[in-house]
Amino acid sequence: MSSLPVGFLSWQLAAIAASVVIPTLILLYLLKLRRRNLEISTTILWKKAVQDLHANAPLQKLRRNIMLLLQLLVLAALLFALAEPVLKSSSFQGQRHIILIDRSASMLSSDAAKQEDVVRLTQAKKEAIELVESLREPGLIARATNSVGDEAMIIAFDNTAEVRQGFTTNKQQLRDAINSITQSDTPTRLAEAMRLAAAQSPKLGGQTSDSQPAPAAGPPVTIHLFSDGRIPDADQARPNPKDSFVFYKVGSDKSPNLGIVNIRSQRAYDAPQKLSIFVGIESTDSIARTVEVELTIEGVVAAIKTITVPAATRPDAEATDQTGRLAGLVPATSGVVFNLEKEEAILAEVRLRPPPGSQGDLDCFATDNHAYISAPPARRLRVGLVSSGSLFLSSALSGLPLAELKIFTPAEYKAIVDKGQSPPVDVMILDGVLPPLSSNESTAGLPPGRFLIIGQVPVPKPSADSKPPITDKGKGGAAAIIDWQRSHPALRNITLDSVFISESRDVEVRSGSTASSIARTEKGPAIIELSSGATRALIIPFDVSATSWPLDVSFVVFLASAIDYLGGDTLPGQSQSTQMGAAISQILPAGASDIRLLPPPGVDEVPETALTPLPDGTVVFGPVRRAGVYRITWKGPTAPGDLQENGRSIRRIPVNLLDAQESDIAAVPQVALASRVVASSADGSFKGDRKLWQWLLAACGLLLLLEWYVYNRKVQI
Amino acid sequence: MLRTPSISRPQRLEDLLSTSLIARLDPLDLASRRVFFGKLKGERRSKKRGHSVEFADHRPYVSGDDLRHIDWNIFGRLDKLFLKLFLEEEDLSLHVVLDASASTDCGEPNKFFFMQRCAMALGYVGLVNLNRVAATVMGGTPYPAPEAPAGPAPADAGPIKTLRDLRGRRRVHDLARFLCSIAPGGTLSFRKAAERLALSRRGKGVMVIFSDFFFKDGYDDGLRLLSGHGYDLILIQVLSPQEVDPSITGDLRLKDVEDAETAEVTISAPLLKRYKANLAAYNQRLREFALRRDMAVLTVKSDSPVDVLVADQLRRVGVLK
Repeated sequence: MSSLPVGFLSWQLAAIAASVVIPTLILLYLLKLRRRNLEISTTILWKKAVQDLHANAPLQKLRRNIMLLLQLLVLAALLFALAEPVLKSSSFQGQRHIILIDRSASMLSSDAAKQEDVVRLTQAKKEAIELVESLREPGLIARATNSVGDEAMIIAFDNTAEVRQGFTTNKQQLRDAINSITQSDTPTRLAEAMRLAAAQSPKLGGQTSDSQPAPAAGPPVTIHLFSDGRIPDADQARPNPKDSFVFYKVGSDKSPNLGIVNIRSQRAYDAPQKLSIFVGIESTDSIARTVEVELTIEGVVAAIKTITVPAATRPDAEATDQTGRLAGLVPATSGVVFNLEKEEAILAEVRLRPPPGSQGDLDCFATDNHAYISAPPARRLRVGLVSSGSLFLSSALSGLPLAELKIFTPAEYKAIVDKGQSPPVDVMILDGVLPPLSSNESTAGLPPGRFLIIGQVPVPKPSADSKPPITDKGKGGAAAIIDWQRSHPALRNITLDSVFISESRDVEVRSGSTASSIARTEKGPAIIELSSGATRALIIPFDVSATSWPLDVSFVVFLASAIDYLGGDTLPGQSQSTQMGAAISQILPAGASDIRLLPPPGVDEVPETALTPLPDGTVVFGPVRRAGVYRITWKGPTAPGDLQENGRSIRRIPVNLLDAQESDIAAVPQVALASRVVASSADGSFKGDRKLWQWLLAACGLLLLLEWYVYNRKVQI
Repeated sequence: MLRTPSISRPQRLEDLLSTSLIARLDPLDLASRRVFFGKLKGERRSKKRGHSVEFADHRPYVSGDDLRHIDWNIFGRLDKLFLKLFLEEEDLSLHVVLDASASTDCGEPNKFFFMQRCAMALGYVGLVNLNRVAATVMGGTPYPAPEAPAGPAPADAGPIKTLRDLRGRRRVHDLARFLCSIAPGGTLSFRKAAERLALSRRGKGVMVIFSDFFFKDGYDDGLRLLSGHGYDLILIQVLSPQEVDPSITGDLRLKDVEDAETAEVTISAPLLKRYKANLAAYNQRLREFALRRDMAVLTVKSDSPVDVLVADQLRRVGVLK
C-alpha cells in the first residue's frame, strides 16, 4: 500500500488553531447583528427578508451564506498552510545528504545544460542549490522542540577535497557554501572527497580503500555527486551499500576537445643555445582536426605550425557505443617540436588556435588550449677543484661541458681563503680538504658558497645550545649503498647498487637539522646534503678513490648532475614547469628577502602572498589550483634566468594542467564506483520534498479577493 | 416608505387646492367609461332617451306615446309615425374613497396628503359640474384628535366614514372639511371596509379608490365586492418615491407601521433588486386583477404634481374629460 504523497510537518499546530478559529468564526456568524430600527409602510415587499427572519434556525441561517463559505475556505487555506504541507519525495532516503561538487578543470567547459556559454561548475552549483532548496525542513512545532529536518554537507573537490560546509539544516549557509565554490584547474580525484565525507560523517559507512575500516553504519545517507563523471579514481570509492548515491551529470557527453597534454623544453647538451620545445596534443574528436600551434616567447609570436590531429579511435568493435558518444573513444595524440636558438632564459606560451577561416572557438574547454614553459639560460658553470691530484675527478670533470675548470692545490686554496677572498667559481669541489677553520663562521662549518665535498666532513662551529647537524664518528668499515633518493636532482638517472665502499665513514646526521641524507649505506648516511643560509653542499664522507664508484658510469653522471644542481639550483637546460595541483617549490638565491608570490593575471581568487624561505632558501606555495604564470618577487640577488625589475628580482613559474584524462571532457552518463555503477539522474530534476504552503497562501489571497468582490457586490447599492 | 416624521396636516380647502390648480380644474368634467342613469337631470348625456335637445334615434309610434315627440317631417315624407328620441342629460355619481390606514401616512411627500389633494381635486370637478359626489375614508382617526376621553386613541376608528350627496359648488367646502377631518392611522381590513362600502352604496357611478393597496389581508376580496355592481372602478395606487426606489442601507429591523411586524434584513444590492422585482410583480398582479374585472388602475408616486395627475393621467384613463 503506497502512502499519500502529501505530508504535513505541523499538523498538530494547525489542528489546535482549527479547533479554536473555526468554531469562533461560526459563532460570530450565529450571533445576531445589532440592527437599526426603522418603521416602514409595509413589510410585505420584504418578504424574502421576512423569510430570512423566519428561517432564523442556526443551520438554515448558515445555509447558502457565501460569505461564510468563502471565509471558511480562506481559513482552511490558512490552516493548511500552517500545517506546512509538503509533497513527499520518493527519491530521498534518510535525512542526511552529502553534496559533492566537482570543481576540477574539466568543469570549466562551457557546454553545461542546453545553454551555451554556461560552464559546468555554474550549472552544477545551480543544480546543487535546487537540491538544497528541495531538502525537507522541520515544521514549526518540530523547530520549537529542536527537531531537525534534512541535514546536508557541502564538499568541493578536485584533486583534493574541501569541506565548504559541515552538516547543517540551514539552507542559507548551504547556499552560501555552494556559491563560494570557485573553479580550479586541477585534475579530478574523488578519493579524498569520499574520505572527507566519511570523516565528517561518522554515520557514512563508506571506505575508500581496504586499509580504511568502514565506520559503523548509521541511518542512510544520500550522497549527491555533481560532476561530469570524468573521475579516474571513481572505482576506489566504496560507499556503504545502504547509502544512496545519486550522480547528476553536468555537461554534454558529445563535447570534443583538443588540448595540450604535455610541454617540455630541452637544451641540447652539447650546444645549450639550441632550445627545443616539445608540445604534446591530444584530441577526443571523432574527426581529424587541423589546428594551428602558436609559440609566443615573451609575448612575441615566434612560430606558428599547422598540424592535423587524427581522429580519436574506438578501442575495438565491442566497445562501440550505440549512441556514438565520445566517452568510449581513445584520444588521438599528436605533437609539435619548436626548435629555437635562444641562449637567454625565456618564458614561452604555446597556444592552440583554430585554423584561419574556421568559425568559432576551437572547443569548449579553453584551459588546455594553451600552456606555458620556461627555459633557463644556456649557461655553463665555472668549477673549481681543490685536490691533491685525484685522477678520477680531474678526468671526469674535464669531460664535462663546463665554462671553466680551475684546479687548486690545497695550499693555493688556503692562501686564497686566508686573504678573505673566495675563488671566482660557481661550484667548488673539495677533494679531501675542508675550508680553513678560521672561516668557520657559519654553523654549517662551511663558508657561503656551493660545495661538493669528497672524503671529508665539515666540522661546524661548536655551539652551546645545539648539536652540530653532522658528526663524524670515524671509520665505518666496508659498506654498500643500499638506498638513495632517486628524485633528487643530483641522483636522478643513476643507480648506485654496484658501488662498493671499502672504507666508509660513520657519520651521524641530526634529524631536523639543515643536513639530510640523500643516500645511505647499511651503516649510515652515504651522501649528505647540507643547506644552510647561503651555503649549500653535497658531502660524500668517504674517500671515493677507495670505492668502486669512479669506475662506474654513474660517477660521471653524478658529478655532472651535482655540479648543475649546486650551480644552477636546477639542472640547466631542463624546463621548469609545475604540475597543476602540486606545490610551487623554488630555491631562491641566498639573501632574498621580502618574498612575495603574485598570482597569474586574471586569477582573482588567489591573493598575493608573502612567502617565508626555509633555511636552505626554498620557498613553497601551494598547492596551486589555477593555471597560469605565477611570479615570485624578492629583494636581493638574482639567479640565472631570473628577471630584474624595479629593484626586485622576479622568477616566473608556469603552471599548466597537462592532464590527458582531464582534457577528455566528454561527460560520462554513469560513474563506476567500486561497489556499484551509478547512472546519471535522468532528468536532473530534484524529487525532494516540495513545500506547498506558498500555493495555499496564494489560494488564500485569491479567495480574499473573491470575498471582497462578493461583499462589494452585496453591499453596493 | 418610512413613516413621515412630522407633517402639518391640511385643515381647509386652500390647503388642499391651490388657486392655480382650481383654475386648471374648472374646464374639466367627470366622465365615465360606462354610461349610468342618474337621478336628477344633469349636464350629462345619458343613454336614457329623454327630453333634452340631443337627438338620439327614431322609433315607430306606438299607442300611448307622447304626441309631442312625433317627427312630423318623416310622417310627411313616409306617411308613417315615428317618434324622435332624444338623449336625456342627467347627473353622474362620483364616489371618492381614501385609504387612511397607517401605511398611507408614510413617504416623503406623505402619501395620504397626496390622496387628500387628489380626492379634493376630483371632488371639486364633480361638484362644480353638478354631479353627485360622495367621499369615503377607510380607516384613519379623527383629526384633530378629540381631547376627551383620556387614554390612547383606538387604533381602528371604524371601517369607513362617508359623506354623501354633495352637489354643487357650494358643497366644495363641506367636502374639504370632511377630507381634512381624518388623519391616517391604525390598521385596516380592506375586505371589511369594502364590504361596508358595498352595502351602503346607493346608485351607480364612478368610484375612485385612492390607496397603496398594501393590505396584509389582500385586496382581492375587497375589490371583488366592489366590482360588479354598476360602479366604474378606478384604482389609483399611490406609492412614495422611497417605496419605489429605497435608499436605506445597513443591517435593519424593519417594523410595519400597521401591525408592528418586524423584518430583520441586511440591505444589499441583490436584496434591493429582489425588493424591486417584488414591487413590480405586486403592481403587475394588481393591474392584471383589475383589468380582468374592468377596473382601471393608475400607479402614481406621491411626488407627482396633482394637476398633472388630474388633468392628464385621469383624463387618459377616462375619469375626466
